[in-house]
Amino acid sequence: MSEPKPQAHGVRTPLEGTPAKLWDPQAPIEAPLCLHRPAVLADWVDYNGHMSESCFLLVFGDSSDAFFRLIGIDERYRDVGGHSFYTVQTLIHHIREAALGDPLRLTLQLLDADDRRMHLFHAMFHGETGALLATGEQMLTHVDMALGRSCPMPAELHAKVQAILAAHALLPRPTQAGASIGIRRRT
Amino acid sequence: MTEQRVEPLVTWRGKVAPEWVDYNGHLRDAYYLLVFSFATDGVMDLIGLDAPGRAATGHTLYTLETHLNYLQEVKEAVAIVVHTQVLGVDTKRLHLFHTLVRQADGLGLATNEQMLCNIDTAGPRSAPFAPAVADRLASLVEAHRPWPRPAQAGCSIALPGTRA
Repeated sequence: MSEPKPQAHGVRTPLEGTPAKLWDPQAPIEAPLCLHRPAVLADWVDYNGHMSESCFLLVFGDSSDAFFRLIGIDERYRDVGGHSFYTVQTLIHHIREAALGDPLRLTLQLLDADDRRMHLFHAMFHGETGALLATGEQMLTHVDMALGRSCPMPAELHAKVQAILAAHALLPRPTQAGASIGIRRRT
Repeated sequence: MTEQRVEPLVTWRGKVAPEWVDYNGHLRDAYYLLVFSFATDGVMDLIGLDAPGRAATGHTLYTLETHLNYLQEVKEAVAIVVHTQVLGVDTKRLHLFHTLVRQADGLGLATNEQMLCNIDTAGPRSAPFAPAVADRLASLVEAHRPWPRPAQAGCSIALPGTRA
């Protein structure tokens, strides 16, 4: 019998395996947070030379992972406590194309949170021109992985989330937030 | 005898690839969307916007908005199928609803609502669908009209009690 091995998996985030940051309750909180600045990789572009739609979500996810590590969610948090955040919903607005090599700047705004859920808003900008390329709105739920069920965040984590929510309370609500999809007909 | 069986429109089938699985051992959120984009490719093939159709018309589809609802975790190597319902069409927009189901028992795993726009790649700018494409879309809309509207269609994201 051998020791159970960590599960092999194919998708890694840029920060995977790096420990979460130490939280300094005195440190100012960026509003919005700006935690991820990748450049568009060859693997992410389609035959038109444009970033494919699923890769926009990959980049938003990588920014979420940086956010998780800011609030103490890393591999250790998952393995020791058996908790993680799962995405429940995602709504992406595609505004402009992104091309191979384009520098990207991601911002993350916490729109709302309760004892177990976080409502996030990502914006993706061109890192040089500042043009808005896409937005991603997400609802995430804190889960007990063994039970496969949502559960409240531990008090320490909840306090960090509330501190970020308070820091982001003065940000304007993004125009894309809260939208639904439909063909609006001119009458 | 007269009962009409409604067969879902299957637009993609396959298995969860090892390279789509994240550190939780589950299909990562972006790869649900990859699977759904394959299903949209399947729709494009059906309506005459496959590679030859794109070359002939100079048109393609761009995604304007996409809304995912994750219903179940999905593990590696699970056989999955995408069913697609056309919710609406106008002169240049296509409103699709995909449902990802487990092939073994039809369990719903995720849904994806998409708004796509027909694009003349010479611009690139939005343009009306080519007539042959519009005809095929009209017959899909007609065929799907009796289907119930999916529960997740048209929803927005909010914590309970905060919806405006």
